[in-house]
Amino acid sequence: MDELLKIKEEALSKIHDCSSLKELNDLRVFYLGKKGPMQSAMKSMKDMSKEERASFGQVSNKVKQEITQAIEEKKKILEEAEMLAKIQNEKIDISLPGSQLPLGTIHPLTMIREELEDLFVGMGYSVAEGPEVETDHFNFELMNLPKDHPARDMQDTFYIDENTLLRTHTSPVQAHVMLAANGKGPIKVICPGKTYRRDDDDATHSHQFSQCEGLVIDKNITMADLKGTLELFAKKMFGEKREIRLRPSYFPFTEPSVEVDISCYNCNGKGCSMCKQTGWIEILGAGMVNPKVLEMCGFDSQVYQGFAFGIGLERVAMLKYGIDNIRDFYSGDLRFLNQFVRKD
Amino acid sequence: MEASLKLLNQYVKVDDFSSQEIADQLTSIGHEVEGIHAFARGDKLVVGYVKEKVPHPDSDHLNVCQVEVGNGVVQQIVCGAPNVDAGQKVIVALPGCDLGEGFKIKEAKIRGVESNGMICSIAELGIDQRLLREEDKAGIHVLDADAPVGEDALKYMGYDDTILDIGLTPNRADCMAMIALAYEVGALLKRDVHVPEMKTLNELDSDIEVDVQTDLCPCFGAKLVKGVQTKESPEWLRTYLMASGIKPINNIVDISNFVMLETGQPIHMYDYDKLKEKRFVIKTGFHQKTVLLDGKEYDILPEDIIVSTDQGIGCVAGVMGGDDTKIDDNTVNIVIEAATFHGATLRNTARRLNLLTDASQHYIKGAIDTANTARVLNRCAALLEELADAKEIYKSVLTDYEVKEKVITLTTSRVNGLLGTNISTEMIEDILTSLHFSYTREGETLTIKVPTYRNDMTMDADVIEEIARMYGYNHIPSSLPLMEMTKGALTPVQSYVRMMRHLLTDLGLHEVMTYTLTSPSMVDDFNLFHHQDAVALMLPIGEERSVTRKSLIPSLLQAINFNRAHAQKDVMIYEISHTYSKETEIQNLAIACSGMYHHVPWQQLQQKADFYLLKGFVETIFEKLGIKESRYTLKPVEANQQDFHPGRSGYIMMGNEIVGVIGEIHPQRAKKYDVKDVYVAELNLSVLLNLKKPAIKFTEIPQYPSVTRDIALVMDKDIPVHDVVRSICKAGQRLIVDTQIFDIYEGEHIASGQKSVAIALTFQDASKTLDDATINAMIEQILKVVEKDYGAHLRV
Repeated sequence: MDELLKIKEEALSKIHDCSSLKELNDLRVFYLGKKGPMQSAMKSMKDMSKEERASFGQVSNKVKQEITQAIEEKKKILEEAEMLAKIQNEKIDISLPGSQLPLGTIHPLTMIREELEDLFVGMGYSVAEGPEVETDHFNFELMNLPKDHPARDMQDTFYIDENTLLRTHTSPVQAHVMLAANGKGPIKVICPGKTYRRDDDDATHSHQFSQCEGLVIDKNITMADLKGTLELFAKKMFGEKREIRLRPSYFPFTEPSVEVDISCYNCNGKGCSMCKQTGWIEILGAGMVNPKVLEMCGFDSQVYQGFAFGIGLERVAMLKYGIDNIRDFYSGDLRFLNQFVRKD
Repeated sequence: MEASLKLLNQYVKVDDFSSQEIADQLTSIGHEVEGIHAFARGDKLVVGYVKEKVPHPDSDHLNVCQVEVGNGVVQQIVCGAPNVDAGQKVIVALPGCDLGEGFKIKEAKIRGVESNGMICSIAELGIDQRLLREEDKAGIHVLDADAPVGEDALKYMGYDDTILDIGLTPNRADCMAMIALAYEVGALLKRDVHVPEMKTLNELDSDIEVDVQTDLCPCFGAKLVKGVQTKESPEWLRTYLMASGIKPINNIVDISNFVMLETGQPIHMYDYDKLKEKRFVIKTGFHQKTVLLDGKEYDILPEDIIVSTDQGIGCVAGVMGGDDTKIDDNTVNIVIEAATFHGATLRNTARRLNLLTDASQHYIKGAIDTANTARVLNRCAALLEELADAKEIYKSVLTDYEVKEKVITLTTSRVNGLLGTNISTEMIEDILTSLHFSYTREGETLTIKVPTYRNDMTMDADVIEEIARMYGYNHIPSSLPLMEMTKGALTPVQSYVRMMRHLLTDLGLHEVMTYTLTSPSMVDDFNLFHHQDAVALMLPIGEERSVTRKSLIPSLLQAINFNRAHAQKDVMIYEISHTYSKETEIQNLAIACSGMYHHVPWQQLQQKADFYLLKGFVETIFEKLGIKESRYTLKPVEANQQDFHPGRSGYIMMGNEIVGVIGEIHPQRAKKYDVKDVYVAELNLSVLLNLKKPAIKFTEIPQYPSVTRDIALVMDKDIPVHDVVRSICKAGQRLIVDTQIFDIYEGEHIASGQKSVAIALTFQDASKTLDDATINAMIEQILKVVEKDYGAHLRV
């Protein structure tokens, strides 16, 4: 009996002092295994009386139990210590830069174009493109700019031959769309694309630029509808607080024609350097489709009417992002492009 | 145009409004005021009296003046002008006066003598220098002796005017006439317009004959006035002209300019005494050189409209008069011409002769009110009598002309139907009346007669615009079109383009936009898709931008060059754009990469742009577009290729058609475009985006496990690995579901001219678990095939 208790005390003390899981396993094998001191002590049982044997058995079971329990408890402690040590070893510097993958950019003019496409497609417009190498007939004549009109002087247009040119605006796409519709409405279309004028390139002029034309034709389309549509455009591109102002103007292909201003987003209309103290910024031209254009493009102007507008994408981008040199759009300069990496 | 508010005020009262208010009003009705400026500047300018002048003690050209400047105050002012003298009334800038451009008058000492102000010349008042006489610049301005000392000098001189810079729209050239502009303001403010009397004076019979022989001159009027005296115009006329941006010359020239300013009708004058025959023939058909009144010689062509006198060229109609018939300082008898000429013809003449004069612009833009010709001649005569002492005025000789009365019919519902408004017929009537349009009304139908000066009115939409203008565009409500539903969608090609753009951007590439126009020296570089000549401009700005590009690669190389020059070494860019040749339009996509694609230096992680990166981009695009590998092949470019590196480039072939290219640019091209290590790809989207593709179809996910086996094959180093893999798959009888090349090795243990290719093959059968025996048999079969086709054998 005393021997059992001695073994127990020795075992518990060794388990307590043990410092690794391996050592602990060795102790388990030693004390609870078949060749351990417990087993040897048990051998003396055969010389004991029945009563003695019963009480010896009881004590021995209890000792075994206690040792097993002590080992289990110690194991938990040691495992946790080991995990903590491992975690400590695995520590990294989370402040080092991430393995970021390269991020490309969409060209700002494309961003504007896609924003417009999404806005208008959402309202049931389709998107038409049309050729950049265009005929005089489509670019000018069908837009009510007859041969002797001052607005089509040679210096403004890149002619290829007498009847062919690089389109000076996206308006001829209107004519393509109308003629394809065979005089039958409704038409709801926007026409984004590249356009060209015979200008020397400088900070505010570019021989190549981008426009987006809009055209709606049906039986009851009014100038009020034009105003409402352009208000949506202004709010989408420049913020919910924007208002628009229409001013009378002149374009050969619309009558009445309007110049559209938006309330200055920089000063909210109070007047600042951006809006030249007027509170308004000129943003686009528009109007009701000239009945002559409707007729030339196969629509009965007594039945159909509609509106058209033309947005200069560079102008929108320059205003929206505060770009002051139009040439930046066409240089491919990464220092420029990288500024448009995020979604606006 | 530059409009003087003081002159405008002569025709319609506006001086009870601020210039800004008038500007806003004009802008609101479509005459955009782009700028407002004072005619003359300087705030503390007063009339002064030079009481005394003594030479400056320390200067040989300066004088010290005692100048009375009002309220008995006398200022000492040092003056350097040669013409200053005691007893003169002068313009004095007092201390604090700001003469603009940083020139501020201060109390100062000039060479030791105190000076409290400046005596001014006209040229110092901020007036456009080209409007001034030499004498205005040479010395101080001497005012009339009765000028009141101490009073505001600008006001006294009538220089207290404000100029509005108005951007007239092309359809409203009539507003170049101050009277027409006054009608606009009058209509808006509901005020009367005072038009000067232009009635016939007591007249004599004229011996002038007019013979119009071309229909390019609908009206020609000539009026003889005798006994004029050439001299300087009165100050009021000089000032109005200067305020309108016109340089005063002498009373005769000034009158013709003033009448044009007032009425929009250009006036030309001939010296009656220089004409042998007193006959004007208007015709075309001259083909000769002639000297015009500016003393220069010009080539006249048969299409030019000519006012012929004495069989010669009396005047190039509406552009410039001839030298032989011009008025000069000795002219006493004048023939005044007021006529209407065909604008487009005149534009060609004026443009060719480089004589786009102010007068010619009036014809070109259509500012002429032909019906008013006779009255304009009367106005000229009256002014010549008043300001040039004309003695005898003769009857005007006018050709018969017909002014067609323009009648436009309109209904109120049409007006509101187009504008989306609710304007009453009565309000429309009010607007028409304010614009001097006469009309008759029947119910809601109005029959309108358009005034003769409104050349822009041709149809009902024009009149509706007038109504809208006066009603106020800001009063038009806002709504959205109420109509049948329409389908809004991008076309399939548009969606694919957008998808590709976002794909490439998400892969780390930058979209660029470059110029369509390029140089003939680059237009054929890298071109693979166009088989026709380039589209060339008739009149390019320069050689550099004279033809439309066929390939986008040259533009991308230029962008890479630009970026390298600005210390951006790693450039990954692409562009999607249409390209043109004669009768062909193609949509291209080009990618160009140079430098490091992906780089995390501290992790030693890096991927440099190379052929395989570009090929990877193309494969990714194709996968997204659903173009299977089996539909195209990559064919090495020809050995004598000049654009692409022959050993590192391939055409993407579909059948016999080249639909794209991937490769390194040829070292010679790299030199030409001054770039290094550039890899490019270009695709013909017009073909690729219009391919028919099968719909997405789901296949059952296999339930049985797959088995992977690695093999290493040794083969001739020039054998394309892709071909070998294709053979393996074919031999694998559809059980090979994936292949991965994981090592290519040349060198030790491998015979020279050979390479070892290690491939992981994944086998799977959808219907059962594959056993080793089956796989081993299959590998045996594969080895047999590659041995036979490529002489490849298992590496040992």
